[in-house]
Amino acid sequence: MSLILFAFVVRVRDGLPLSASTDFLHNKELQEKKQQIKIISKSLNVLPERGTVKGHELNIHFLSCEGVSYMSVCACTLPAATAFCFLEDLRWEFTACFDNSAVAMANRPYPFLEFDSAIQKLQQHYNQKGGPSLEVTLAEVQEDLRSSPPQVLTMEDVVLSNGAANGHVEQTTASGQSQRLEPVSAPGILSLVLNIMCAALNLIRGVHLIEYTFQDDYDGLWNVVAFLVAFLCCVCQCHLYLFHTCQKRLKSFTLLTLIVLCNAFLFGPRNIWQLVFHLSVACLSTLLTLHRKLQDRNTDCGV
Amino acid sequence: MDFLRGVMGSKPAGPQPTGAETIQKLCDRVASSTLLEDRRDAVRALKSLSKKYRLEVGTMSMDHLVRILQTDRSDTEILGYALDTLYNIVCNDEEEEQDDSEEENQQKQEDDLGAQFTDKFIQEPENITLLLTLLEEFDFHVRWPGVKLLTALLKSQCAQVQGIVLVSPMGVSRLMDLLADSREVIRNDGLLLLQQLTKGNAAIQKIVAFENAFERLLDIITEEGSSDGGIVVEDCLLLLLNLLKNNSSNQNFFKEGSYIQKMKPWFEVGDDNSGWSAQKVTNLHLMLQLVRVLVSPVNSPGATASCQKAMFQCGLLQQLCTILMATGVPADILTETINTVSEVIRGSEVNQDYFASVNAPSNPPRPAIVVLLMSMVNERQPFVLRCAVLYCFQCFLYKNQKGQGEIVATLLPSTIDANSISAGQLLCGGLFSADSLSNWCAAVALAHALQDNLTQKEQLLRVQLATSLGKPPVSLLQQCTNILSQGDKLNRRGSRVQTKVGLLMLLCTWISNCPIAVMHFLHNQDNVPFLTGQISENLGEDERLVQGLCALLLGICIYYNDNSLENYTKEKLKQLIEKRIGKENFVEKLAFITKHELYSRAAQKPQPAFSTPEHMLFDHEFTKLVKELEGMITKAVLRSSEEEKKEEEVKKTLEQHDSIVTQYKELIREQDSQINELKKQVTALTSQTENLESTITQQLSQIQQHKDQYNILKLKLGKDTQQAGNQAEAAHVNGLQPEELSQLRERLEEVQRQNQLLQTQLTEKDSLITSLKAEGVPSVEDSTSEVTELRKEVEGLKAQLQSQTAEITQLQNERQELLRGSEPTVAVPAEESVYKEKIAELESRLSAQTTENQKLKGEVKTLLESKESMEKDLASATSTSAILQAEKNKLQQEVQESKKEQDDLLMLLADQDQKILNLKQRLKDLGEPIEDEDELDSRDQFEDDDEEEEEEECDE
Repeated sequence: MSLILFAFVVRVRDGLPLSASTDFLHNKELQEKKQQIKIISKSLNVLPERGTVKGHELNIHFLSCEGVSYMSVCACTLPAATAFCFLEDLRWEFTACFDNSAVAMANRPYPFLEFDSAIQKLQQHYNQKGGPSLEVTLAEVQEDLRSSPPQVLTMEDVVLSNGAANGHVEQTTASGQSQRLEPVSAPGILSLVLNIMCAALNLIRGVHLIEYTFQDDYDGLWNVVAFLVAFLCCVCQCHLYLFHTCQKRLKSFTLLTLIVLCNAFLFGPRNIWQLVFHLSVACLSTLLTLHRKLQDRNTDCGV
Repeated sequence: MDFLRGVMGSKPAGPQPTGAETIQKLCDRVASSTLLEDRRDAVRALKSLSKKYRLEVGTMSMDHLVRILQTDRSDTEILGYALDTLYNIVCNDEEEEQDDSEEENQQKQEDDLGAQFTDKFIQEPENITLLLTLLEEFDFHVRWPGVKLLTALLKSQCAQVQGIVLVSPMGVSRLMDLLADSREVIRNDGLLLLQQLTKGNAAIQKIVAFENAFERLLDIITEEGSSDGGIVVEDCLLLLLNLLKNNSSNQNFFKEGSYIQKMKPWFEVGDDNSGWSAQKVTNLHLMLQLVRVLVSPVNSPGATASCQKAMFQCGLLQQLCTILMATGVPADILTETINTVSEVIRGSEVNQDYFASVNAPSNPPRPAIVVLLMSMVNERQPFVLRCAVLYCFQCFLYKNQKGQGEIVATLLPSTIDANSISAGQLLCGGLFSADSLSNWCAAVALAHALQDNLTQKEQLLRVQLATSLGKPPVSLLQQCTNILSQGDKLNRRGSRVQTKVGLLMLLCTWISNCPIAVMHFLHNQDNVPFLTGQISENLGEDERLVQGLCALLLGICIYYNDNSLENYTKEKLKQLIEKRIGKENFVEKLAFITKHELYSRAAQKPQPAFSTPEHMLFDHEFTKLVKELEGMITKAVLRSSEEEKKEEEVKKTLEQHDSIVTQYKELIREQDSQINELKKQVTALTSQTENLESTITQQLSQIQQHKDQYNILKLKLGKDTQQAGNQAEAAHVNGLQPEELSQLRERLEEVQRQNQLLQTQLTEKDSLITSLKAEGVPSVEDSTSEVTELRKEVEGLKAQLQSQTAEITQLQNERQELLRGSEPTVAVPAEESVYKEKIAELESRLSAQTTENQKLKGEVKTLLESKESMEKDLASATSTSAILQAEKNKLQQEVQESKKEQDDLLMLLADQDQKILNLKQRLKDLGEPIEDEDELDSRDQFEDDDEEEEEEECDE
């Protein structure tokens, strides 16, 4: 009676088979377990490092390490420690023969099938002697299992998590219609230039005022805040005019209100003419922003 | 050992000779060693050396390895080693991998080396057959390298190995069993093997299909996770494509096996946005190509239509449309899905109707066609996607007049809805945008909306465009021509030639076979000068295509012109071409279209497949239109020269007309003479018919007379039979009296005598009959006398017959009495025997007499028949005599009339003599000359008197 019937080495990333036992045994439950192993291998990303799936006469044990998972179908009478000890030995043998780059570059199933000779030797050894050649190894594995026991799973858990496995995700290209605005007109250009000028003026006055506030022990702090807020509002108005966004009307009026309040607060440092200039520029920009519409069709021809 | 070391030291050779020598030794061990273990070790060593010393191992050990495969089949280990060695020798892939750093020349040498070893291996076909038998071994280490070796051989020399596999018995079947192997490695490599095997060989493809390949492959695809599966699914799909592409029998087999229904779950892609892996994209791409192979326009129309119907019924088309409208689909999958949906709905009315009802999941909901057209006229979309959308639109409108009507209806003023975006508006927007590719796509799409649909061509003439505020609306046809003539002034992205070609293709499709459109086109005064100006200019290479299309458009205006416009009739347009362009130049420009490279490329298949946007010039349907029209247009344009020739021929015919007329006159005269002759014949025939009818009536009367006589004879015969019956009864009464034997004997003697007399009489009558027959038909009197004599004889014979019958009855009665009397006289046996003899004699005589009676009856019948014929002759003779008598009477009457006339003539003569005498006397009495005049007057008076007398006599 064989204790270890089947061994399977698979890549964790996408469940690509790397190597497996090549012996064929006429066992019905073994065939079912092979099918289950394939299902489990597709969802190793979301499963723990060690796990066990129990059956009537055969169990599935798997050990995932460094992007490669080692799985086996064993008889129920075989102790779990011995099974995982077999998987540990399998891992040592595999990592000794093949490096991680070769594993990562594989694109066809079973690229390392010559490893089955090592699997067979190890399998025969465990089937004949019932354990590893060194007792110390078995003791170490037993201690590891005692500290972190393998999780017992059912096929329902594995099947549910299988739906989300699609491998690495690529960037997708959007399809359909994209929104575009009308071309920029001459008044629009004028509005942008003036708005940029106002923003610059606000920024200069604000930076200049910061120096005085440091010297005068923070007397004009609120004026600095007002200048900077006005600066930001002007920049946002330029952006709102150039690019399409949703709720354009609400945003435009909000920015206009903020600019009006800031300039009202700055009535002391500025004279009346400067305030009129800033407010008129803000109104012009808001008006042009609201008038600019989406380019649904060509205006050259209408049917 | 020291001695051996010394020997080895004395021969210091390089590594190459050492390797060759080692291989030679190993081959010798394989060939000569009797122990299996020794041979096994040798083959294992060869295997380890086969990659490094490929050339030496291949040249030296191939024959030995083949022999091992033949002889050592019982040992699976040595077979595995041998197959691995052969695989390493033949395979080129691993060598290429190892020699990546080497030069290309060396790689080519390696490839040639593999090909040489393959040729060496397959020189004997038995090697392939041996390899196929080895695949039956269930051991993994024998089957797996065998599969790999066969795959490598197929990659190296595909056609030859295919031929050998095809010829070997059960070859393909054994390879098909690989797919059923439970070990996935062998199954996967079996897929690769079958891919190479079925590449380009229709016979093997059919055998593989009939070996249940489709079911096995579809099961493997399902088992591996369908589109989410790995590279094994890709291998299965590639094999399916090999089996189905360019193989109509396999396609029918696939369809009839209901495998199309099993393809539907493949396309049930989840709505989650978890993303698409590279393998999934590849798998789905191949699945879509598999669907396209089944419904390709290259296939026969019947097969394609049935596949399209099956795909609609099982819901595959609906699933594809779901993918089409889903979000997050990769661009290449979306493009291929559009192409697949295009070919599934092409030419199928049910599928096209379904596609028209598909809506995109947006708010408000829009038809799928509108969403796709948005992508087509959007220059930011990928080029391949725009081509796919154009192909989809073409397939939707292919043989779909209902769809064409719906598209054109969106452009008509009565059905425009300002709130929603329609397909027509998108097409017009693309047609008049600044992007030349959009112009071309929109023009071709509109051309397909008018393809083979006269109604929609006329409807599209009603479309009105508002170009700008304040100006009156312009028709679509006019706007197209405006852009065509003024297109160079506009700033346009892309090539100008592309825009012009698109618009010209649209105009050619629109105007062809539609005289109303031709009239509308020619109604604009600027169009014809523009076309002639374009054709007559000498422009660059790119513009020559535009010139050719302008020539085609002008030719269509001539061919489909109904001469409704006075200024632009067919003749005037032809003259215009001859004056401004020249006919030879026109035909040359027209022929340039078909000589263009892109024209022949577009004519191959209906799908627009172009490498770059600049190559997008011709549409497949337009190439068909050009083929139809080019010949007809050249004939129509060149017809005027033919007409001149015809005029010359007419003149010649006029000269020959007179001679023909004279010939006809002669014919008429001959016919008249023939008619006269025929009329004469007709009159003669009518007279003959009248004579015949008269004879028929006479014969009918004779027949009736004969019938009456026949009835009379029947009555007489009936009376005679009754008399005979009475006599028999009298004899019966006499028989009742008892009489002696002597009286019986006397009566027998009398009867014998009477019989002899009767026989003599019969002989005499027979002689008479023969003599009568020899004489033939006698005269009337003779026949009548003979008939009477024959009647008498017949009566006599009848009397004799009656007497004989009476005697026969008497004899029968006597016999009965004798039989009754013989019973008491048993004691006299001698007398009884005598009586019996006599009775027998009597019976024989009775039978003889009965036969004689029958003969006499026959003779009577014959005599009656002869009598009837004679009577017929009498009737005919009497009829002739009657005719003659009638003629005699007529002649007598004529004689009497002639006599009367003679008497009258004599009277007249006598009167004249008397007058003459009177005149002589008067002359003698008178002697004067004046009296002579009086005499002349008197003569005139006498003549008048004579005439009056003659008239009186005639009246009498």
